[in-house]
Amino acid sequence: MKKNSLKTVWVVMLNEWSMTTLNPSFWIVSCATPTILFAMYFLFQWFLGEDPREAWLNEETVKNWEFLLGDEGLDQNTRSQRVLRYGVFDPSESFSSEIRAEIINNNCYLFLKSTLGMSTEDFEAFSDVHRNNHTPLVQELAILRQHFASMSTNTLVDQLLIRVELNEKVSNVVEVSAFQERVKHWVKQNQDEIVESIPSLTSNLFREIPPLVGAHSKNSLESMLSRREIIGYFVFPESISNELDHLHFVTAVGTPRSEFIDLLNWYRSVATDVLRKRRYETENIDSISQALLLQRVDFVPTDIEVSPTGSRITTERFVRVLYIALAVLMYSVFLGGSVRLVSNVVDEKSSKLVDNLLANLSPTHLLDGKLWGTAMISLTVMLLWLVLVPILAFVTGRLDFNVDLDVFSELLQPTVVFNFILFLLLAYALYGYFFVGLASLYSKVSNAINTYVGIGLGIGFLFVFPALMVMYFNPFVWLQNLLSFIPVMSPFVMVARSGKLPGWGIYCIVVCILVMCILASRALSSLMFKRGVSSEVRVKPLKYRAAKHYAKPRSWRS
Amino acid sequence: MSFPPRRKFRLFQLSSAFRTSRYRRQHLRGIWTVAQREIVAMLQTKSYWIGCLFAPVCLSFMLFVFWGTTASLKPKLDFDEMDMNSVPMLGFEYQFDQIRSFFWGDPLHYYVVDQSDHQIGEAVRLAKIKRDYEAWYGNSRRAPDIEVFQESLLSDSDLGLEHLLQYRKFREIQEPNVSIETLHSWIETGKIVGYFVIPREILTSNPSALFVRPSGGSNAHTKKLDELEVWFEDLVTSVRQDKFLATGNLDIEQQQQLQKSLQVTIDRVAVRPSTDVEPPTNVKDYPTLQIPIANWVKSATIPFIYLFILISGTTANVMLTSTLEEKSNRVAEMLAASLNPSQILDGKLLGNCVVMLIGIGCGCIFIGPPFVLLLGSFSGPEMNITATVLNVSKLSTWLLFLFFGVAFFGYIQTALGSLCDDVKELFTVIYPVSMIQLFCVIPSVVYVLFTPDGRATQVLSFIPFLTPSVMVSRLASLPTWPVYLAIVLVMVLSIVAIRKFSTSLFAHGLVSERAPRGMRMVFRLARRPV
Repeated sequence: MKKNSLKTVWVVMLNEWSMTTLNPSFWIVSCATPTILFAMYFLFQWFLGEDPREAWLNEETVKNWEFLLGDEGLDQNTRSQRVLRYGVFDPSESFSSEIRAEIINNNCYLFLKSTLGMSTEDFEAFSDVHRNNHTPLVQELAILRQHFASMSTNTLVDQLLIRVELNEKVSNVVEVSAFQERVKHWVKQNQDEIVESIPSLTSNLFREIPPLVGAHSKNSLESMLSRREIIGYFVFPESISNELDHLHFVTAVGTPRSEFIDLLNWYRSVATDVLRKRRYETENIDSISQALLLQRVDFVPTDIEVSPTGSRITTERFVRVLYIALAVLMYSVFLGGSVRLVSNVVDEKSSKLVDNLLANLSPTHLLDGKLWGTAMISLTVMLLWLVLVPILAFVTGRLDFNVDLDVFSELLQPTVVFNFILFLLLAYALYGYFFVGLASLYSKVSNAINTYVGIGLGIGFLFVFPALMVMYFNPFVWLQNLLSFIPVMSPFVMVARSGKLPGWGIYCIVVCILVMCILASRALSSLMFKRGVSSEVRVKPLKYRAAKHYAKPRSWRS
Repeated sequence: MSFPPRRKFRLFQLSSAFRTSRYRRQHLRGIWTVAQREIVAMLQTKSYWIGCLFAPVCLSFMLFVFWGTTASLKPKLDFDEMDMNSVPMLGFEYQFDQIRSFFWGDPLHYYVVDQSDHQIGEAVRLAKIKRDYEAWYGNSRRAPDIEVFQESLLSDSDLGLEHLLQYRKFREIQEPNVSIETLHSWIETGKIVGYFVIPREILTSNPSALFVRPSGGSNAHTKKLDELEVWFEDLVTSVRQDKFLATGNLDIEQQQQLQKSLQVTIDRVAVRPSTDVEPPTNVKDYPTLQIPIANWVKSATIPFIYLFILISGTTANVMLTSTLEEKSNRVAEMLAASLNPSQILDGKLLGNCVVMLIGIGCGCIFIGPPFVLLLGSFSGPEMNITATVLNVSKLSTWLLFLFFGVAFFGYIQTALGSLCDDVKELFTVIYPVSMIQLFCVIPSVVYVLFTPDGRATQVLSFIPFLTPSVMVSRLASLPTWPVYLAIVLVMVLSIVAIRKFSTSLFAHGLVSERAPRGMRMVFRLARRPV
């Protein structure tokens, strides 16, 4: 007998489930929801995101120019893809020419670092290109590479540019000061030719237009700015002292900051270096110390092959909020699923389909079948999300989006998943029976849904959200336990406690209390359902009933 | 009485012209009757007035509050008023810091292996606390000693949660003489994310230090490690500089003076191409730089898109539901008996457009003033932002393509709605249109929003069912006039074609008893003579 009953319920459940899942729109909406949530998360991240280049421009300590031109300094996604031309308006001409000289020095450093550090094949290719016109320099570079193959490129370049104490071995091979001059002259003369073979040169990113002479130069610069031939121009005061603290950059209205922020950071760094060098000279600091003072300590990342076992997101507050969000998600899934349940019941009642069904099976079986069928649909959605979310997280994590996969490792723990599914089903049973019983009293879908939405939101505002608010503040364990024992709050509180579940004893008691309440709810709803589903009872507003009641003569009322 | 043939022909011409004009008048009167009915039916619903009055009043109140807040905060804030990337953050930096701090998660723990002879590790620790101390107290006169601050950091692990102190992000594990094997096992267990090795010769040569970190990991984690590396490099560099300068008899003030950096101020000028000033000959031939559209100008299109989708979707939906209702309660048959299908369709469109305009008018009256005030508070002396957001060409394009969108989708949806008797049938019939909107319109809107001047955008602008939404999404960069006119022409022609198709479908739908199954049946029905 019991087996037959279960079979009947199963048939109703399966029918309820297949009716929804056979509709393609169910799958489309179920897949679209996490995708839209991910898109919203990225939008949020983008909105919150900070451009580090903005912070560098505003910070007191200036980043070194070499760092700003490196991979860490130039964000390959945001930096402009072309050479930015800029102008300089310097009435005194002295400071700007020092900056120009410093830029050439920096280019020489980059040139030597690149040519002395490149592989043999690359150097041969470089020599082949430049051998005809620039044989002496290329030969010198080849000799240096040959003699100092064992020395690190950085050390060799520092020696050649006298940024550290000069080693005798180097001075024996090459006459350093003359070599420096030759390199400087060569780089200055052949800037356009070497930019392709040495991409790290600043000329590949920023180029100053030839300095304009005369009183009209500012007007000429503005004219060029208006024709968009330059991105902007720097303005220096007429007399520059060592106390100079501000530099003006003039650009057109409407030019996005992201376009020139790299230029500003780089130029500010070079100009600060020049200014500091001036100050060091007044303090009689020697050139080697100057170079050391201007260097940035470079920490070379060394990757080791270990697989970290510990999760990196373990902030208690973060996890707490994550599980509260999970409880809210459960509430919305339960709310959405119940709408489907209510509308199906009333729809079948109004179309008289239920009469056919009741002819073959008992109202209780129908009630159980409908409820658990809808619960199965919600479980299907959850399972689909369980598959889809890691895929989306993996795909987007590979891209440049800032999704920390550890968030999902927190959520996809077996205990968390089990706890979520168990209490989702229990919440469905506790409230769902009542909703079906109530819905069966209505004949119009819109009326039933309006009533259901009111009750559903009422449950949210009266029980779910206050309980979750309390949980957010991480109250004492006894208060958490107390909330877990209140059946109307219990499923949501238990999901919010997924991070730190109570012991087995309390857990089982909570489940037992909920199951007992569900049985009571089922018994009550079964009575409502039996009466409602097979008769044309119309629930009318209380006011209307009351008015009708009092409209009758007193004698009739008795 | 007989008339000469020429006179007869003239009289015939006059009478036919009279009949045509009378027919036209009657046709228009029929359209207006349907439109009136639609307007009255809509204006009598409570939800319409809630949407038109209550929602705008609430939004207006919120905008006034936001404007009041920004107006009071603006004198205290410093921002580049010609570039609005930072606008959303104005005055709310503290709250945003809290959210960022929340998303950061746990602090990253690291270890320092100090091989130098100058106790650089200890100096770095001090410099780190000093930076946090300055960030926490600023120039406050009530600031306690740095040691007290250090103790409070050690005793209260939550200190700095509200402020994004570096202590909140990066923390050092301080244990003496830890072996490399132990450090690797710490990385494995997640106790530390990596360790730094400060070399012995850090003060005497160009230093090349090490940062040992695990390979792989998510993008987000790698970014955090990169941030830790840059932050630590900064700290060590500044400590190294201080150590250098301390060797040459300079006091702290002199050291700070020597290391003082330059700041850059950005000045914006409104420049227009002028022929008065000729640039020198050596700089004459530079190619023009392609300056991209600023992100804030692109973002300013979002409210326009939102309103477009909301209004066009609602209007088309109202047309659809009213048709469905008329069909299900047999009013449609009575209408079809006394009016042309085209009159009913046009009347519905006209009526709902009038209702839509009333709604837009209410929105403009209530939301307009606080919105303009808010924009004005962000605008610079040249009212750049207000002029950019509330540009006449943008507003007129938005309104024009809103009409086109409503007409295009309104005609189709109403015709499809006329084929159905209830909502269930409607879902099946309207399914392809919903799919087009979900998988074609929304992705193209997102794409065009980010690249309003791209080549694909230009192509998408000519695809009729995408044109209205794409044109609204590319408000940040509208096409040139000839292209614009061509797009409008294509749109008008496609609306005429859609109207013809919908009228035919509508004529059959009003009197049909069963909804067609599949799009093939729908097209077959539209091809049948009326």
